[in-house]
Amino acid sequence: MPALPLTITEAAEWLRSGRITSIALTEAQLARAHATQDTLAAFILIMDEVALAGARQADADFAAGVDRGPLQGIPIGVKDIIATKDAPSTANSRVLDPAWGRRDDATVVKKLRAAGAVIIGKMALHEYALGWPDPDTGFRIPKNPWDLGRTPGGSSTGTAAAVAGGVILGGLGTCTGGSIRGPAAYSGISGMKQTFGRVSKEGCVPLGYSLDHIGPMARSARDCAVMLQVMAGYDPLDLCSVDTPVPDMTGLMDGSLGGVRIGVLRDHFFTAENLDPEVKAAVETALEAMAVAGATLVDVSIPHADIARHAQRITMMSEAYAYHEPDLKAKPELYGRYLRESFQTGALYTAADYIQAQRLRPLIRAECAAAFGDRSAGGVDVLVTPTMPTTALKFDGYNPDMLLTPPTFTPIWNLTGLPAISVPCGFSSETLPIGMQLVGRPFDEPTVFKVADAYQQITDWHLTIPDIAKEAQPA
Amino acid sequence: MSDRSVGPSQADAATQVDAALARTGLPVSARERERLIRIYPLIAEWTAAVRLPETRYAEPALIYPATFER
Repeated sequence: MPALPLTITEAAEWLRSGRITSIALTEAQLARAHATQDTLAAFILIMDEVALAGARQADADFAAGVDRGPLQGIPIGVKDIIATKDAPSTANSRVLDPAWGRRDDATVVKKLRAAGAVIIGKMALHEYALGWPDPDTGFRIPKNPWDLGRTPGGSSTGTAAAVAGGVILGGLGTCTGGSIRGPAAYSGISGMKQTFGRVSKEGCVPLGYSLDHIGPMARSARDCAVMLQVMAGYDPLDLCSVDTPVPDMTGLMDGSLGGVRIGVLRDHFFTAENLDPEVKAAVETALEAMAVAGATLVDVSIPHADIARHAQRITMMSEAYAYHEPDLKAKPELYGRYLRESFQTGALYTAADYIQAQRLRPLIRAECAAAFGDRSAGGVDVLVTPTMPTTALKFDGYNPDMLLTPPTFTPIWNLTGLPAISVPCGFSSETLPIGMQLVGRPFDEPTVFKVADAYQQITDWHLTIPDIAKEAQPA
Repeated sequence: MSDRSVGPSQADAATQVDAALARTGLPVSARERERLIRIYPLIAEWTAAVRLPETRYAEPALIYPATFER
């Protein structure tokens, strides 16, 4: 096995220096994908021929002096709920009409291909991006590279497992309530859910129309920024797409935390009774490190943060039920048990419940604006919370209903649409990754990336890899 | 649940669940119906929680773009 780069940024340098070719990189990652499929089960489909053709084109472009940017020749994965023209899309479900997948690339996939990215496969997920790994579906269940007895987190399970396991350098996840940041935290990688409307979700099977995002997952915040730069932009095919200029996502990255003001959401996010003390301690330590590096910490609060998750769930389940109602009635037996039971709860909400949840959104958004404050008058640049209350959950003994009650820290940012990234910030005593969540102002992803990247300049949690990935890495 | 004592009783929950299932025509197994009845008090708590006095006159966050362009 040849030495492989650890990040997209590193790989881009190798490709341009001649240290590696895209075909060599892609062949090595494909070999890794096949070798780990029985253990990690990260893929629904490994696309050998498509990937090799993409790699050959990338190398030919390099040889001809054509450089499409930092993703050229980089093998990436696409969550299998996002359409690709050269592979079926399953949503990890027997329910999805195969005809849905026989279509052109999703907008975001078109953008990635145009930038020279090499699509290496379709990544596994929780069925329809919700619920829990379900053997009823007949699909494989991805494992966490840090502990094969635990989930990599959902719903972007395969992308998280593959990035953490050194199988791909980056990939696409989707997120309706935490499905990018949760797996990133559980698997020890970085994952970004940008501002709602920044990236087109055309070509993605919906879960919650007003909450869904397609976002990047990779080892580092910088890699996520590089991916988002390509993915972002107005798309008239997506009703929710916002026609606003795309900034330079890495433009503010200077490695410095000097002058940065960080709002710490102590209430709710650091006081929840289900918050693992080791998770809390790791995030507190990360905050201290950023303060030592020059950041100013300011305690702020969002008074109705706890209710936000209820509004998010009501919204998500109502919108999901609307989409799935025909199939829940016509062929319920084809759904996996956990997902079918989850979607059935959507029948219990009324139209008034849904509207009340929508009426809460402006209130929560106003409270977020107050928490950020006026930048010119002592406001903060980012908010920080733990990403998940715990480390990765075990498969054994799991009861999907047990997660309905306790507080969660990610859905509020889907409800408000604010950009939020999870970055690794330590490990538990069981050597399980812990994630820290950084949240930005609307459409201010560059500041989020700046702070996350500066933190990753003073720590190496994001470069700490599990044993299962080490054999593929340079000595 | 913050205060189960004010939530619906089991009988109320069964009534509400059965009414919703009848209204939607959703087929569920006996086990699935029992689960819905079991978690209905949680859902009742959540739907009550989002009815805040502060949002009494708030507009919902819905978008109606007045355009034929998309």
